Formats: sequence, C-alpha cells, structure tokens
Amino acid sequence: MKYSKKRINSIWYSPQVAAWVFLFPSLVSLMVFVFIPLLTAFLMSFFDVNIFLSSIKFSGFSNLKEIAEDSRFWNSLKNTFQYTFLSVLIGTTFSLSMALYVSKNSMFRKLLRFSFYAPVVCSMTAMGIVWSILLDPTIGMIAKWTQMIGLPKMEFLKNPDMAMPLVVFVSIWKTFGSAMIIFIAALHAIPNVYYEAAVIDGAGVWIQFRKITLPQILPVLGFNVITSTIAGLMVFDQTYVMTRGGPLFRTETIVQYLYSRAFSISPFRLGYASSIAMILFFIIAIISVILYRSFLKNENRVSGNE
Amino acid sequence: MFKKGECYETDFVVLVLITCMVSMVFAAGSKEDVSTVTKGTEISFWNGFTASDGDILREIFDRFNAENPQDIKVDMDIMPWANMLEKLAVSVSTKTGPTLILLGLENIPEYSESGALLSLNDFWEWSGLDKDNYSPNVLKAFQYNNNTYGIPMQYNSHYLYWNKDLFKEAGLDPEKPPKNFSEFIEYAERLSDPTKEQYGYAFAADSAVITNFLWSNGGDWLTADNTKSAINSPEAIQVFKMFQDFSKNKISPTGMTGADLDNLFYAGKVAMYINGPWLIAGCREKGIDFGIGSIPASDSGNKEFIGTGVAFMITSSATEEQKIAAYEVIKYWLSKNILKEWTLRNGFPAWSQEVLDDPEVQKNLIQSELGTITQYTRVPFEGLPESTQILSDYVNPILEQLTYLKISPSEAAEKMEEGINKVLKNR
Repeated sequence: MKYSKKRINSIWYSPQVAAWVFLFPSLVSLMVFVFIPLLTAFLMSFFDVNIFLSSIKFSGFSNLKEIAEDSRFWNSLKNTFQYTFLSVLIGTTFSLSMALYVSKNSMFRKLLRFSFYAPVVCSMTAMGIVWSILLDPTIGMIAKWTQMIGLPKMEFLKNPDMAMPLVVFVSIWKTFGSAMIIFIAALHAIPNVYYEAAVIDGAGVWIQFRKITLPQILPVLGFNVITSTIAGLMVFDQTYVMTRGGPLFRTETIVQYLYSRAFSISPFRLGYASSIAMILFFIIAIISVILYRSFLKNENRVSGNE
Repeated sequence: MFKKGECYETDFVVLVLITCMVSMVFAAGSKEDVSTVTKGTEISFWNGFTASDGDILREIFDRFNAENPQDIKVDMDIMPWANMLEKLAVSVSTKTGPTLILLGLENIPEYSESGALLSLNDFWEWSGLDKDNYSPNVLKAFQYNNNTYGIPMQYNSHYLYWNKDLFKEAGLDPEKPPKNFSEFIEYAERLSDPTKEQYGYAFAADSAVITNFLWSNGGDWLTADNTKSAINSPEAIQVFKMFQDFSKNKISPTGMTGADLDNLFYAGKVAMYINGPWLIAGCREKGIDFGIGSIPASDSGNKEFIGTGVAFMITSSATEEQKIAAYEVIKYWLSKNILKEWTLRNGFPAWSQEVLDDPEVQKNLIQSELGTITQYTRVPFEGLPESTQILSDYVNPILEQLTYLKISPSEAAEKMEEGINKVLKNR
C-alpha cells in the first residue's frame, strides 16, 4: 500500500470529494439542528422522560393512548385547525385583494406596499405584546375608542369567544405583507396581451380575474396557501404572547400545549410532548401533500390549453 | 526534506486544527474542594420579585455587592415567577442554571425529587448562627423528607387590604373591615359600582386566595394524609358559590391576572383585595390610604389561613465554590438588620426572635397586626410533589371556568375531585 502524497492529493482534490467538502458545513448544521432532533423526538415519544432526565422508562405506545383520551389535546387540535382555517382563508383572500389594489405602479401604491410590508419585518413577539396592551379592556387604546363611539364594554382578549378571532386578526395584520409582495410579483408577470384581448372580447373585470389572473397565479397562490397553512398549524408566538392559551384554553394551540407539557407544567414530560409533536408532524405532512397535489394537478391542466 | 511542488500549508493548518481540538478536550477545568469562599466569586441569582418589593431587594443586594468583605458579586435577575419556573427546569437540566434562587416552598417537593436542588443540611453548622432564634415552624416548612432544601427568606400569609377612601364614600367605617363572610359579601356589594368601574372585591382565579376561605369554612383540598381529594364537600361548594357570585354580580372583574389586579388596587378602583404583604410598599408609594388586617373569618368565627413563603435554594448547577458564596449571601440575609429592614420596609411578618423582640418592630402597628395572624396559618399541600400539577391542570382551570360562569359550584367541586384523584392515583 502506497500512501504517497500524490495519491492522497488526487483523491482529496477529485470532484466528488470536493463536492462533499463544500456540502459538509450545511450538512452538519442540517444534521445537528434538523435530522438529529427529529429522530430524537421520534424516539422520545416512546419513552417516559422528564426534563431533568432523572427517570427514563420505555413506555411504548402508552403516550399515544393517553393523548387519545386527553381532552386538552383535542381542544388544542380544534383550536389549531380553527386558527389555520381562518388565517389562511382570510389572509390569502385579503393579501390577494391588496395585491390587486397596489399592483399598479404609481407612487402612492408603492408607498402603500411599503407600509403594508412593514409589520412583516417586526418581531411577532413584540407586536403581540403591543396589540395585547392596545386591546386591554382597562388601559387599552382600542377599548377607549370603542367606548367613545358608544359600543358596550368589550373584554377583547379576555372574552373566550373573541380571543381567537382577535389573535387571527393580529396574525394576518402582521403577515399579509409578505404574501402580498409575492402576489404582486406574480401579477406583474402576467403578459398584458391577455387582458387586452379580453377587453376587446368584451369581458368584464370579474371574468378577467377568474379566467386570466387566477389561473396564471395559481402556482403562486398554491405556494402561499401551503406555506401559510404550515405556519398556521405550527402557530405558537401569537397565542403564547397575547393570551397564553386562555381564556379557558380557547386559544391554546397544539404547539403551545406541547410546550406547556414539556416546559411549563410539572412534571415536565418530554416524552409525552414529543408524541404530540410527532402527531403534529404527520398532520402537517399529510395536509401538505394533499395541498401540493391539488395545486400541482391544476397547474398541469392550466398549462395544457386555454 | 522539503520537496518541490508539495503543498505544506495544508499540512500546517491541519496540524493546528488538531492541536486546538485536542487541547479543548483537556481544557475543561478541574474542580477544587473548598470550604471557605474564594475572593471575588460571582454567583447568579434568580427570583420573581417583580413588584415593588423587588426594588427593595435590589437595593439590599447592591449594598451586599459593595460591602461584603469576601468581594462576592451577586448577579441578580428578576423575572415573573412563571417565566422563572420555565427557565429553571431547562437550565438546571443542561447544567447552566443559576447558583442561587428564591422559590416558593410549594415547589420544594417536586424540584428536590428531580435532583434540581442541593441539600443544605450543612448550612447551620457552617454559618455558626443560632438556629433556635428562628421560628421552628417556619424552618420546618422548607424541609422535605427530613432534608433541608430551603433556608427561609420570608414567610407570610394572605391579608385583607381595603381602600379607606372608598369605604368612607360608601358610608362604611374605614377602621372597621368586615369580620366574617356575611359582612364581607355585604360590604363588597355596597362598595361595587359598575358605572364607575369600581370593584367591591377583586380576585384572580387562583387557588391560593380561595384556600383561606375554604379552610375557614371547614373544607380542604385533600384528606389529611394527602392521598385523596376532599374538595367535593358542602363547605367547599359554599365558598365556590360565594366567589362565583362575586363574578356574576360584577363585584369582581373576570379574567384578570394578579399583576393586573395589583395595578387596579393601586389605581383606587378596587375597594377590598386579598394578597400577601408585598402590596404594602406599593400602596405607600402610590399614596393609597389603605388598611390591612385579617381575612374575614367564617360566619361561625373559624379562622384558618395559608402560610406560604419563599426560600433561598441552591441549584445543582452550582459549583462547590459558588455554593459557599451562596451560603455567605444567605447568612447575610439572616442577620437581624436585614430581616428587620425587610419586615419594616416591606411589611413581611418577622420570624426571627431577635427581630420580634426589637422595640421598633413591636411599635409598628401593621407588624403587630400581621404578627397575630401567623398563629392561624398552615402550609397547603404540605410535602406533596404533585401539588403544582394538581393546581395547574385541574384546580386553577376549573376555578377559571367558575369565574366565567361556565359551570356551577357543585360541578366545579366534582370535576376537581375527579382530577385530583386521577393525579394522586398515579403516586
């Protein structure tokens, strides 16, 4: 065996090895921050572990069985779906409408685009705190305004029925800017000839939208819907900061529930929380596949003929 | 030796990297065994004293940092208790926890069971202080399984505060607080005015305050041996009904946190309020003309109130050096001057005999009043590690439902019983 310097160099500097070397840093961080935690969480869900790691017992599927009977889990699932449905539906519709409105390239519209995007770059935690102070029924500005215009005293975030819609509202206020910008880019990519031809044929604005705009931006619409759905299913910041899951657990989402089980409430059951996280993982995976298929299928149909 | 066309730079770089990595492995320092503190030791200190008592605490510790002869530096971090508990569990299990903490005594059973706290059995011998000077009941409250895990920092009960101005406005004698449940309800109704957003008696949906009324009325959360729930009783249901009526009749606001209510009391919007002694400093600061006294007894005259306290505890993240430095801090706190200052400035009842005997303390009206209450106190859920789980999973959420008028008092008692027994069954 000859490990001459020349032989080692020829292996070290070959294209394949070079490729691995370049990929190595990203691979390491992916491994450390994504794959290994994912695998650990999956394994932990079969154990009874607490945060101090003081007692580790294998428990098989008993965590899953306990989750099935846990009313607070089902409640958080319901809340998460409610949040996701509302925020995706209203958020997408609203950001698309705003995109249509500000897509024209006038100075004023460009200024509007800037101000609509501003909340996106702020921290969700900070904005959540600001809004919860504004909505405070005793010292909040919004409470004062509603009383000034004669409405009855409202509890806002302390009202079990109003809490979730308000959280959804703040969420949409913060995030619609980024979806809007993406829609604007997509709208600008539609060739003007289609609209001119439609106008010649006598099509109204609504027909133009349905037959030209919508099909053309379908991939982008799909992208926005999928990303906002995934973000919605994983929501944590808004509810944690604004309502802490209350009142009466009406705004407690899955991630918040598993966080409280793992870190807030004794006995800090990491195993149980990991099981919940695994369930969420599969729910998101299945929903993403369904959404992706339904938008991808349509795209093939559109690019066929028109 | 050096050949033409060979690349020696990479060799050198690789050699340096390997040397660095190997030396890092051995750089993790070695621990020394010490029984006296090293000069200049720095320790981290977490607590939840976010109210006005936190300002006094900061002052005291700034003085300690400046004056202590061993040059110990205490790095104090104050955050809300809920945040602190969350951070504590994670940080202790990753060995990055604070050295010294203040924590409520209800957390001792569960945190000591999981190995998060160091045992402080050697403190008294090390410090040379006279253990008999300190109330034995108070010291005992911070022990678990015959081991000392906490050295008391303060011990208190809950007291009734009332806004004397609002009493006068409602035509009540500001020097005569309600003496029993019936008077309490009557006064609360008279002192409420929804149009002015004035609350006769405000409370947060937390078990601590309600325990006072529950016990005075003859009920209890658990049986005496901590094995089963005892909450589903007529006495408990009576107390639940009293509190639900307060919410229903808008005598108390719904959905507020303790911090919100403190601010409402300071703003003069709440006529009667029950809380620990930490409100005293804030009331003086805000200029509220307040009275403080015993929580109303039951109609039959029975009085039993909660005893609770906060102790110095040392986490398992502390090195031996840091532990000794923390002992110095605790010894400093237990001195007559500091305890007396805490009692007089902050209003916490004294539990050290030399402080109780001090003429200034004896002359203080508030302290003499509070001093008479301590004999009626007892620690709830004593020695039960599952207590925090019972409270956060069942008792407090169900109390919340009660104040939102979602369930009846008897349903609340039943659900609590179910939940408590479920947790205790797994013991």
